[in-house]
Amino acid sequence: MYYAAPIAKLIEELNKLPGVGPKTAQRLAFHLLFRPREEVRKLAEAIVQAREQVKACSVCFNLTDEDPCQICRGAGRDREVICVVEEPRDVVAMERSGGFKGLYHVLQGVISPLDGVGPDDIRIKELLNRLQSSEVKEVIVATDPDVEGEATAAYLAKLIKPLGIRVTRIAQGVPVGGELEYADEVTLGLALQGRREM
Amino acid sequence: MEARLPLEPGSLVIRRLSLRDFRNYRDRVFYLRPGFTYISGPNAVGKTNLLEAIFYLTALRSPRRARDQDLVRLGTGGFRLEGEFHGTGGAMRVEVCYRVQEGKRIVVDGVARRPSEYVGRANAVFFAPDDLLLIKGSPAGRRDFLDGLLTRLYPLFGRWQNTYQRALAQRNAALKRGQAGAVEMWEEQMALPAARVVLARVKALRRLAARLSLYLGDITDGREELSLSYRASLRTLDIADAAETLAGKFAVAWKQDRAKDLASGITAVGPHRDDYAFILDGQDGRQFASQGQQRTIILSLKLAELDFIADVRRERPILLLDDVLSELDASRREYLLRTLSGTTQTIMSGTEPPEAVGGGQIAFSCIRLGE
Repeated sequence: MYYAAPIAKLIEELNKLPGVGPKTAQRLAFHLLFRPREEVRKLAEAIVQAREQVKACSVCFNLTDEDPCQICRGAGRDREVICVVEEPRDVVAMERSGGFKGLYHVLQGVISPLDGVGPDDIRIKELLNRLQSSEVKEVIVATDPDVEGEATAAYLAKLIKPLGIRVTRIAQGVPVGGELEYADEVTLGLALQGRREM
Repeated sequence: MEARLPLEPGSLVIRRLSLRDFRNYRDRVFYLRPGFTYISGPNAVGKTNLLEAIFYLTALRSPRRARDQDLVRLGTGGFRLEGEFHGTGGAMRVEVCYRVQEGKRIVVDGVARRPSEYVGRANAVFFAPDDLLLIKGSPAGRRDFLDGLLTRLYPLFGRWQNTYQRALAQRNAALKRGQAGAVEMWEEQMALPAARVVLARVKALRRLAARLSLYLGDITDGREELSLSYRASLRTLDIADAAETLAGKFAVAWKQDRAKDLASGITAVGPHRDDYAFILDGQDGRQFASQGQQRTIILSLKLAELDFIADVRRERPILLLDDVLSELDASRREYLLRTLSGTTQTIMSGTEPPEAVGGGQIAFSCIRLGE
């Protein structure tokens, strides 16, 4: 045993965090051990508080400390448009862009039989309920552009269109500021397919 | 012979190769010349590894289907390869650093590049005795040969293939779990990629077959005729179909098969079940090709592969012959070297002493390993 038991336990717990390997866990543990007690207590409390006070919004399933969440209650939001995303962190990315003023719906995953996730395991039913009792005119599907994201998007479109609601998909292509010369051929191909009238 | 290449493109040449912690190499630099290079030495001194490193620098993967972590020298955490190429576009320096923890980084002429930005810029053809088994081997082996070639030449092909394979894995998972309602959604994702994969394969086979027949005719004095025939699992395939039409046919087939596929838990139709045959004088080579005929056909196929890449990329690739010469008789060996002479940088390995190789007819540089 190289470490005193409490240190070993701390390293073990830190090691469970995503992106933290044994070496980083060890570095973080020793860092914490040499910080003032007060600072370490604040960190521990912040973790526990966040975990206890944050829950999924009962309307959009984004993470929130008040229910419904701030965005769902927000006065300045366009209630006729809902953007469907996979994870809470996608909401953060969209909000940071500042280009979207509508509401969100967080699926909490994508359909993926390989991972044992079927259509009933993500928040699709809740989305459909929400659409039936609201003034929504357009649903923007912003799931990732991978196979699972595309399949889930197509699955949703099939369910939502019969409700008389417009369904759109976010575009993909050359990133802003990207050099055209070095965009790989695949990205260029997609950008060409998704071109628009000027 | 003169009419072989309608447009003689320039050729790619590797001038310098440096290896660090790659397979059995700790730290080594090789200088290479255009034309023929013969690497001689006893077994297990690293002849194949040297050829493998050159291929890796062009394709960013092993020609032997080894995983990256298996290429790392024992007891180290990663490898580094560096190559200096000269081609139609001038000089190019390529560095690949692989760390087991972090994956690989590619730097081309001092600028970091993503793999998709680089693959295809430099090309090589790898020819090993295993390839001689292609005709009678498994359908998976034949698909791998064709798909590997197409992936390196057309990045979009790799994307279609990956999308298809991923969606197929999802459909199969839904089938195995009996989730009848979550099967159709994957078929929609599979249809167009499947159609594009099949059409690209058929087109590539046609181009390969045209070249292959020329070489085969040369070697056998026109005695043998060969065609490559695509064997599709989709019975309604018409190779004249547009991609969208063919995608529609796949969708129909999968829909019809759904109940049967749910029972078996696998997808019975699709490019993952297709194959192609070498038809020699009207007969399927899988059953009828003799040992000698197989050698002649694969030799012609590899020369055809070189031409194919040269046509698409406007640059002749490097040819890497891993212990192949000893598998060929004197006349085939002589034909191969004569055909490549003056057009293709060819790096070959063997256990025979260098004097035994060219028969005194052909000039080549030598690298002796294990001395």
